[in-house]
Formats: sequence, structure tokens, C-alpha cells
Amino acid sequence: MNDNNVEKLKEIFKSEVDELVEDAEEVLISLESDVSNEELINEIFRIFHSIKGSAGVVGFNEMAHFAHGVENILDRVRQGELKISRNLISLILESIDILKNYIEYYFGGPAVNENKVQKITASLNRFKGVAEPVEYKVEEKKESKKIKKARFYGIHIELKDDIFLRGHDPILLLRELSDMGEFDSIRANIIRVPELEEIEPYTNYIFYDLVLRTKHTIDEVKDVFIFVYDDNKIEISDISARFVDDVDTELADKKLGEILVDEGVIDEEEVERIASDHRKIGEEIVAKTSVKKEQVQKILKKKQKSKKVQIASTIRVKTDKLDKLINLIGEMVISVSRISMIAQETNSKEIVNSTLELNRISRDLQEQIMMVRMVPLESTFKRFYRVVRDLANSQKKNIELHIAGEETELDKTMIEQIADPLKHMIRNSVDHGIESAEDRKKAGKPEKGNIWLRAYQEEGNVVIEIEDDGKGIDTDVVYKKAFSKGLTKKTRESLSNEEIYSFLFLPGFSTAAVVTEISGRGVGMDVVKKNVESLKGRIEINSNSGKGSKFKIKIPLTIAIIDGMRLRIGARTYIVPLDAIVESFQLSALDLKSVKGAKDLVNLRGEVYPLVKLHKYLGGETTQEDNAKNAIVVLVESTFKKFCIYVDEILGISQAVIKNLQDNYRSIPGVIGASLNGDGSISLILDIPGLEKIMDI
Amino acid sequence: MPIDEKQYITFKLEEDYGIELTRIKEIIRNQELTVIPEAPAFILGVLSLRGIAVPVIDLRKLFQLPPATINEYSVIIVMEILGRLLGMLVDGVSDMIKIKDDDVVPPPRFTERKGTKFIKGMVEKEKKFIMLLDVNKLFSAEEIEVIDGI
Repeated sequence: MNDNNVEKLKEIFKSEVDELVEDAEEVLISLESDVSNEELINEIFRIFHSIKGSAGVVGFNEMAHFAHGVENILDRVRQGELKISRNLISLILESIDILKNYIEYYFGGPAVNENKVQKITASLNRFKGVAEPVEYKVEEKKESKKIKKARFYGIHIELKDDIFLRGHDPILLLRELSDMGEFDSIRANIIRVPELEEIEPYTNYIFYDLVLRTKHTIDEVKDVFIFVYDDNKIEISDISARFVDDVDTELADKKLGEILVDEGVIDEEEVERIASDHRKIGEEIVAKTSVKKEQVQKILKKKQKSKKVQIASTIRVKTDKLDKLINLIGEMVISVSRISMIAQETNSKEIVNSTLELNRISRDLQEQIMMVRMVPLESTFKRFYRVVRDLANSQKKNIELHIAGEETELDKTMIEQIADPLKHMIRNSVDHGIESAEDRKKAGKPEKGNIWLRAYQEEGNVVIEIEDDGKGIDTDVVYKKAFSKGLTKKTRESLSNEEIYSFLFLPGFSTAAVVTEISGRGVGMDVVKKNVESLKGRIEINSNSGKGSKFKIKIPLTIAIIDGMRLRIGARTYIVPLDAIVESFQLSALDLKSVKGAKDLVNLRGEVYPLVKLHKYLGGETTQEDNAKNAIVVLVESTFKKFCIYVDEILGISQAVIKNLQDNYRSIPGVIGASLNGDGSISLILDIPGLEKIMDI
Repeated sequence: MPIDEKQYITFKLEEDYGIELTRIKEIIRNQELTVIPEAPAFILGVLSLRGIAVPVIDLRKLFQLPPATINEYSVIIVMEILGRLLGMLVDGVSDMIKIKDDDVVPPPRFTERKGTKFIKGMVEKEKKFIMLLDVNKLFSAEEIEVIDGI
């Protein structure tokens, strides 16, 4: 094997094991609340088994050895020799941390803390039992005949009626097969079994269809049937292509009923009969037949997994290749808008129409490329189960995390940037939001606290909500704190709740009476806000004292290209992101209130907003300053405030490709970046939250 | 060995008790233990068994017997209970015997009294009974949780 292949193998290893480790945490946490669930126990055993195997293949022997130790213990749990406890689960979770350290180490991270490994190994040793467990051996490569990766064989066994009289027993054949690997599925076809009184004890009525997962070759499997192969109908075929990562991809396309029939849990007529009703087939099968709920759920889960693999098993592309594509698309968008402008001038209907079409295609193309970069939030979200569990345990709180909308997709780089702020906010909810069990009891709430993490799409934005049913934000406490820290000089009465919440995001603010290890060190929410704003997003807070709080993060689907409104102020054009615009209107004399020495205020339907003369900050002239009474005004909103901007003309909506300024110049406060217009001129894209800050609105 | 026969280690704790041999890892002389503050009363401390921390249980406490003086016969039986290694301090190991399943008689049932739920049977020997322990019933789930937390 050359180096290139090794690298590739390692890459595959990483993506595989990262996923396994994530799954392991999830399974363990479900297991914690359901310690006797055999399915989960089997699952966690399988996961550790796979981790060991994968690490062994790429030669990461220390990691394989460590995983083997845990696997041994899980095997004992699986065999019923060892009863699982919550503390044991904690220990296994800690050993997952070690596995993570190993992965980091193998990919250039810091060395694994040997002390920690030894400590955990010593703790694990107590659960190894009296009989010495099987030692982990590095597999020798002498058996070249053996296949590295397990293969799947579909086997159809149709033995003659008089097979017993010839001294064979189908069960023995099945046992021999099961020694070679494991059955992915096995089905006994009992169509030919007659009524009880007609059964002849020495006659074989049953056929078998099974899928065997094994590392043996097809010839070795055939050898099992060596004495019956010629006289009976035995069909063996390699169907490994159907399976990706050991999951049957065909299941995704099949109906549940079909799968159940295939698995031999139920027969076709019964499904037909039930399908004539309108309830979900799974529920019906449980309600009307002897099939157990768990059986159906197990298969449903398999089906879902298969679907996932079908999607995931497409192709791996490096992100920088996609980034290049995005940049090219950006250039194309500019070119297309330029061509459109020229086309307008030619007055030729044909050219105008075809450029319109070109426009549409380029927009579609851009959308499709954006889609490629989209990744579901699932893996980011699921990490938080562990975060909440560990933190809640350490604070002796009982908290359940509910996750919804994890299938919502977001640009990959944005997911990476949003993960840390989310983690911080979730920690805040556990730390400051949810009260201790005693306090909750006193307040008449159930002892168990809840945190909801939801994601959904709304008007071109992805919204992520973090809600808790804790004590809510006490605006008086926040105000007092902000005042005592000199963050505000206004009186409590003059501030709205929104304005008070905004103090939470100021640097150096912390409300917790006791500063804990995790949150409340005074850094945090301001960083969260900064991160979210760098993604052109916004945070909203809703809180109900005593009932809980809700943080809403809104981020645009993509940050490379935005929809914007082009505005002219004096001789310059600016672009304001469309989602920051509330409305635009013409100012009348009655609406404008000028107070000497203070800012101009605009009265719109009873609400008063400050009026910003942007040209004073960004330079340039406006033609409308003198007759402001008829000026056009655009109402924009940032995180906590709304304000109005003077403009001379609204030029229309267009797509803007964001070119950042700091690459070649420097960043300008209040400006996100620049955008190239169709005629080759440049417009600055305004950063509304940034403007709010620098203009001290 | 016939399948209807099992080997037992018998030990003294006022009366004679028996534990299945296959559950026992080793028997060691009583040694100094690390006493853990705030541990429940039935846990004497932690024993270092070649690097493995093994909690040691005071069976007398568990059986509500008066404490005994530690002497040269006192030993710790290191064994497996519900899969985890635990040590049990006993007054002394007496014998290793073979017991036929048929010779085991059910224990007397004096309802809920502590001490009987983990006796799975009794065997007569020299006009007295050896009580056979079902060690997996010695501890409740909560107690196991406490032990694992050590």
C-alpha cells in the first residue's frame, strides 16, 4: 500500500469513526434512562466493535486496544453477565472522550494524556470479571484469502421434502452459516406448511431466505451446502453492492409492509387487509396482529437509517472546491447583470428576453450550488445531548433536552461558526435558566427542567431557537447590574424590556450570583452576538419571568450572495440587506420632529424612530436635506432597535455578491463589504447592526 | 464434574455460608484499605488489587451482625457481583466443597426480613446448615449505583 492509499484510508477512518463516536454518545444517553433496553445495549456493543475494527485496519493500535477493553465490558453487559448502572455509563462516556483524544492525536492533535487513559482503564478493569478476557491482538496479515471487509450474501435454501430421511437437518445448515458471520435478515417461508392434522413429521415444508454478513468468501459459504448443493435448490449470490456501511440501501425505497413481509414477520394478505384502512401501517400492524411494537420500530429505524445512508453515500467533495465554484458563480452573477443592463439599452426584444432567461438560469444555478454546501444541523444538535447531560449532572439538576428540526440545513461553514455560540447559549440555559430541583418544586413546577432546541426555515432565514422552562430573565436584576456596572445611565422606567435584554450582550456582563466553571465568567453573550452578527444574523430574546426564556437566532441561508435593496444617497449607491428592511415611505411634515440639539425623530403610526443622516457619516452630499419634508425614508431593524435612513432614491432590488474590503483595503465599521454593479460601479453594502453601534442610536 | 454438582467455597460469619467457586477471583489476606469518607456504612474502603480499585464490603454490617475483631484468619474474598469486582471481608474461609443440586433445600421464608432474600438455598452438613448465597441479590440497584460511583 502506498502513502496515498494510507492517507485515503485514514480519511475514511476519520469520517467513519467520528460518526460512530457521535452515535455512541447518543445511544449511551438513551440507555441511561432505559438501562435494560437490550437493543441499545447491542447497538453500543456493535459501535465499539466497529471502532476497534476501524482503528485496527489503519494501524492505530493503541486506540484499537483501548476500544477493545471497553468492548469486552460491553460484551459482558450484552451477555447478561454485567448489570449496567448509570455510573458505568458515565465511565463509558469518559472512555469515549479518550477515543476522541486518540482521533485528534492521530490527526495532528496533542498527545493523549496517558495518566487519564490509565485511570480510566483501571476503573474499567473492575468490570472485566473473574474470567480473563480475550486479549486484543493486532491482526496478522497472513490470511490473504480472507476478505477484509464483510460481504453480504443473499441465500435461498429450498430443500427437498424428504431431506430429513437423507440424514440432513436444515437447522444444522443454518447454525453452520451463523457461525460464519451474522444474519442481517432471515425468513422462513411457511406457505407450504399444511394444516396441523395433515403435517407429516418427516417432511420438510419450509424454505429459507436469508442475508448473511460474513468475511468469508462465497466459495466458503457454498462449502456449507456441499452435501446438499447438487440435489436441492440452493441459490447464493453476493449482494454486497446493495449495502453501504452495513446498511441495506434498498430498504429506503420499500414500504414498511413489504419489509415486514420480507422479514417473515407477517404475511402479505394480512398487510393487504390492514392497508385498506387509513391509519399508519405500522400502528395497524401492532394493533391488529401479534407483531410487537418493538419489532416494527426496529424495522422502521433500519429503514430510516437506510434512507440516511442513501443520501450520505453519494460523493465526498472538498469544501475548497465548492468555494471556488461559489466564487465563480458570484462573478457570473455580476456579468449577467451587466449583460442585462446592456440588453435593456439595445431595445431589442429578443435580446432582452434571452437575457431574462439567462438571469433566471444563473439564479437557479446559484441556488443549486448553495444547496450543495448545505448540511443538516443534526450532528451539531445531537452533540448537545451530552453537553446538557454532563452539565446538568454536575449541578445536580434534572434536565431533558428536546431537539426538533435537526434536518434543517445550513451552509457548512456557517454551521461550524454557529456551533460554539449555540453551545454557550445552551450552557447558559442549564446554568442560569433552569432552577435547582428545590427551587422548581417551590415554584410549583415539575422537578425536571426542559430545554428545547429547534431549527426551522423562515423567509430565507434559518431560525434556531433555544427555549427553557426555567426562571426567565429578571429585567430588574439585569437593569440593576447594568446600572451598577455603568453600562447604562438611563432610568429603569425609560427602558423597554428589549433594551434591557440588550445589556446581556454587552462585554463584561454576568448576572449569576455564583460564577461557575462553565458560564458566567463575564465573557460569552457578547461573543455570541458578535459571532451571530458576523454571519449577518440576529438574536431575539423573549422571556417570561418565572416561566422561562427563549432565544431566537436568525441567520440568512447563505452569506456569500445576499438579496439587497439598492438605494441612492446623493451621488452614491448603497445596498441594504433585504431582510433588514421593514418598510420605506415618504416623509411628511407632520411625521418629522426635530428637537434642537437632539436627533431628528420620525413618527410612524404612533411609534417614534430616530432618523439617521447617513451621508454625514459616510460622506457625500444629499439633495434632500433642505426639503426633508418630502424625503424618502427607509425603516430598518437591527437586533434590538429600528431606525430610519434618509435616502434620495430607491433603485430596486438586486442580488449582491459580497466582496469583503479587508482583503485589499481594511474593514470599515458599518459596512459589510462592497458589491460590483452591472455597470461596473461599486456599491457599499451597509451593516445595519454595525451602524446602530457606531452612530449611537 | 457432573453438571448437577457445583463447587462452593464456605466461609464463617457466625454461621457457615457458601459461595459458588466460579464467581470468585481470588482470596487475599486482610490488608489495609483506603477508607472513603462519606461512603455508606456497608463499604469498608477500597482495596488496591494490582492497580484495580476494588470496593470492600462489610458483610457483617449487611447481615446486621455485631462487629468482629479482625484476626489472622480474616480474609477478603474478591468476587464478582452483578459483573463488577467486589471484596467481602469475612471471618475466615473454611473449606471447598462439592454440592449436588438435589441436596439443596429451599431457605426458610420469614417474609421480608433482611438476610433471607439473598440466600438461595441451604445444605445440611454435620447436623448444621450451610447457607448458599445468591450474591447477585446482595445489593439493590441503588446500592450498586453507589458502589460504582467509588
